[in-house]
Amino acid sequence: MQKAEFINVQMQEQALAAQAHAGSGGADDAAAARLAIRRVSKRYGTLWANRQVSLNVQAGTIIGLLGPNGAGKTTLIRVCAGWLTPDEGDVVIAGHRQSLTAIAARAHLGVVSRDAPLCEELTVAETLFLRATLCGVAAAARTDVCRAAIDEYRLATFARRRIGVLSTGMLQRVAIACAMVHSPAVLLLDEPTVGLDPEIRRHIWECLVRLKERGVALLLTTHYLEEAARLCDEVHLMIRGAIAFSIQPDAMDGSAARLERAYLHAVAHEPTL
Amino acid sequence: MSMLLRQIGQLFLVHLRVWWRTPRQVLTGLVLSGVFLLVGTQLLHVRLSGRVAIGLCAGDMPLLSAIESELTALGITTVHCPDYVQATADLAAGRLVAVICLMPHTLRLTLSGRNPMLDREINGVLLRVAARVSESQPGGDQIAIVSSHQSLDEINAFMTASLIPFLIMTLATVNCGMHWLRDWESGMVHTIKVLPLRRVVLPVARTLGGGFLVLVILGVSLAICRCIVPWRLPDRPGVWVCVLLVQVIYALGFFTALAAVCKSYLLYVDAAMLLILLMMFTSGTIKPVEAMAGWEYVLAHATPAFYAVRSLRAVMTDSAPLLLRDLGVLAACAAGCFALAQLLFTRARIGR
Repeated sequence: MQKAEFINVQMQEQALAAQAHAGSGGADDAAAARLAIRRVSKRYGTLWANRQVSLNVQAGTIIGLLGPNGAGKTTLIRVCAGWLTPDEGDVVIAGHRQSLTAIAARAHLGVVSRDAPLCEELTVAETLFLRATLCGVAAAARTDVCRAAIDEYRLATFARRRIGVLSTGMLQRVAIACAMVHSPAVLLLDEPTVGLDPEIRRHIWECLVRLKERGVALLLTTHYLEEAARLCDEVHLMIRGAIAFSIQPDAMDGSAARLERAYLHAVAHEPTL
Repeated sequence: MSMLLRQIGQLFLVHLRVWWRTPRQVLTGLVLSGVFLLVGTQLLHVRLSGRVAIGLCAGDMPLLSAIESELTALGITTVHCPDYVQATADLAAGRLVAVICLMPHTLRLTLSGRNPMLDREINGVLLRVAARVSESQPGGDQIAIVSSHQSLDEINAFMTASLIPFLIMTLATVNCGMHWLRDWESGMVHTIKVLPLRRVVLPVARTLGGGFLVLVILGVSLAICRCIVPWRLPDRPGVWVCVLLVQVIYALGFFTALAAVCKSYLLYVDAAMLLILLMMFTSGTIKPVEAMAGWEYVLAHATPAFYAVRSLRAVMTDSAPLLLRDLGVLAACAAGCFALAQLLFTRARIGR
């Protein structure tokens, strides 16, 4: 009982800290951030999918978005990807404002999402080569970049197979490899490990940690609390389109169980938030 | 600029590669295009066969025998009727398609009126037969008919010229418009949108890829068709190729715009097929434009396919001057359609 209260108090403190952090906009942080989401609101008709969301993702950090279905996580990813234009606020990627025509912003962005599928008729190697060409990788470096991606994401055994015949796990690794082929500063991942077996999931986690160590700023949405606890430097809980509170898993010793309790508590008390 | 061209080139190659890797689509496209031209050319040409039975009423026996032998030589079945009343009863019952009644100084031809196209053909054939027979008869009244009879090559060229625009439109429907919708429905458009590309890259690459495939399939099917059904190559091959290119560009633009407007595969297929059928009737392919009623005439001139058919007939049969206005209308239509498609593509949104 005492432990639960301790968690609640800790959560409230962290929520206040997160709101203060987001509210002030963290001007210095935002300037240094690879991905800065500044007071973004997005509305579908009368439904607010995102309300005044502010987030900064620094280089070499993984920021997680948790929340129940319909909380607005995917909408936020879509806004960051440039697929949706926010009704209010803006998104800045590596110093470039994201918009429908912002080529400079997209040059620094990689996206792994079900909204961005791969061409089923091409092989894995061809897909990587195509992506490298489209993303402007220099002709001389293209083959090396593709080969390195195949090695790094363990795609060699099925590099000549068509995308259409790959399993979900293989597909997800290819998607990450494609998103990273032009070495972007920011990687957006929308539920990257959904439907994967534990081994593949672990491998994808390793890949993401490597990217983090390489200085990439990662923003990922997930429903897996264990994933959030293990990977993320900071987890934001979204409810009804707004960030309800933020937690640093390190402060909870990376415990998924404690994160789960905090999450369930927040969701259960959602109307009061 | 070179990066832009490289990106377009890469997507163009992907378009071809994906097409090549769907062998059923490749084979179906090639075979059906050849079959369309071969069978269509033959079907559009009305020919009288042994199933066509013409009744002959006795009168002048030597003349009757001469006509009968001429008709038999053309493969037409002749039936002797005892009298005109019996013959018209058979005509009404559908056993005969026409009755020829020979009386002194008079040849009466009665048609069933069931099929105007068949009646027209029988009319023409009988006039030619009657003229030939009467010329061969010594003395008596003679009927002189001057017929601008066309050779089989010329007729085939005319029929092929009428069909090619529809083959191009069908190929553009499959090889360009459907790829757009596939990109749209599968989410490939959104994949492209997160890449650092100009908006123009995907539409240009898709159009180039689709246009190339249309030209390849069209060329192969024309070659196959010409081997089996002979038709004369146009006197001005350069102009012919230019007209074909303009038609391909027009068809690509038209069906790309239709795909962009429909945004749904099923809706697009319905709309494309119905429009092609409709244009077949309003372009003068089936019914001569000169024989159309007022509103049909206006509708025909509002149909781009009319200009496509007219320009190709002019260049393939040398029967009429090629009007640059026809090509101008097609080019303007293509430009408008491409602009509309690009606009709709740029406005494509994801989500609810």
